[in-house]
Amino acid sequence: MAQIAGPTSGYRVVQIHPLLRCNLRCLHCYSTSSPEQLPALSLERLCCALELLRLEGFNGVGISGGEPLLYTGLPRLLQHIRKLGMIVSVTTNAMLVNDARAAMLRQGANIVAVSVDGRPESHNRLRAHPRAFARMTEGVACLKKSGVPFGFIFTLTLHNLDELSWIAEFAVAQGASLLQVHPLEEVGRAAGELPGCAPDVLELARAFVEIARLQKQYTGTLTIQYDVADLDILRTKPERGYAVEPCTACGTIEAAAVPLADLIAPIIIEADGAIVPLQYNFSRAYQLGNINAAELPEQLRAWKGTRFAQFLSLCRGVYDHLLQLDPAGYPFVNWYGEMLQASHVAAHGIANPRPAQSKCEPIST
Amino acid sequence: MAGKQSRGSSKLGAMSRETLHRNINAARESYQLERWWKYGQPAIDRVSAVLNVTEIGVAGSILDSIIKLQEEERQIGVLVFPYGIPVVDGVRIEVNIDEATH
Repeated sequence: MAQIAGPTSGYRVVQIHPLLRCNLRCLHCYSTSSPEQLPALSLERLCCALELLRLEGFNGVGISGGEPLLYTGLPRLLQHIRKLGMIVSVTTNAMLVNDARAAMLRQGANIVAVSVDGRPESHNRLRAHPRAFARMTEGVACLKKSGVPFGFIFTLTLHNLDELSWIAEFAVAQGASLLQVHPLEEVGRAAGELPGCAPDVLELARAFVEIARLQKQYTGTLTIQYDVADLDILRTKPERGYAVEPCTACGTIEAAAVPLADLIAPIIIEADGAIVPLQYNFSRAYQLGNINAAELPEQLRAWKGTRFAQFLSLCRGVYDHLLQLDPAGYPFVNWYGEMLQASHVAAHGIANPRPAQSKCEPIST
Repeated sequence: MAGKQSRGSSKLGAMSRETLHRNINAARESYQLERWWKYGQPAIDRVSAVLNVTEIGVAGSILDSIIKLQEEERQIGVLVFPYGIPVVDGVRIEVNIDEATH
């Protein structure tokens, strides 16, 4: 059978949002996480779902939120994931990290990703908390002391590329091994608070050049990861964007007989138990199942037999659209963002609203 | 001082379209985007992982899935240590992933 590579190739990741409760209320949050969000996923159901997904070929788990350190089942969840032999990452704002929690992460996680949004004043403004940066650095000090590998995640907006070199220097000074640069997505709270602030193709292109420069500068010290698709690579490797026909995807074997991870990855378990493709808030029209409902194996089988073809059709449409863009234009796109938008357009005939007026404050220099 | 809606890139200095395209091509010589990840998911291909597998029955499939990650531009190093000798009751798997493209 010809496997579909997908955007992360052989890394088949399940991202879990076990809760939307968070100690912060960030302006750029892609969900609506906040201190008032109380529901959380059942640990037992999560563990059962992960056992099934391990058998379906997934080999990595990313735990996000909400703030995952507020999930009381986190230590047991990490222990269970490691027992299943899956690589696991935890994404946190690090404000709640102390020595005990750092030791727990050292025991259970392969890597911890800490969100950082720029210089202290920029970070505090986006995090809507006056001491967010100071407390984050205290938490990072605990992570460093514990010995758990950690990196930083920087959200790139239309207005903050100039802060990236500062962030890289900060990351190296803190002992981080990884800096992930991810474009802002105008979904969740960000849709209302930061409309018009997502980086456009010009800004994504300038960022690529800047990141390549910084990567050269910090070779051997810091790996810089940039989460955009290069259209020239996508053109030659359409399977990275799932732009393949079902017959190519599955050969002569029925999709229902193929491990799920060979058909689609990453997948997301949202805080209400829904499993969706690729990205938080992906249209529920493409939902794979729900871990709170009965017979998850049967739900996944049904998805392979029916909605998988619809998913591939959506991917093909996005691929064709992206490759029809001005060939003389800039070659980088936020593929996940494009897929998310397309899923809602296809499902409801309407795009997520994107008001023209930006409410962004300037990033001080 | 930047204006209210100024681009981050504009604070790095002006760059013509032609220069930007030239710089992109030059940057691609040393930096390529083979995979792209979603927010909140650090690239696990940057990971040196230690997996302690306590169920012998699944150790084989775990090793198989790790070895499948091997590609031309990615070298996978795996060290396996059984423990519980003489009766093996667990396996420690050390994984090192070396990306050649970045």
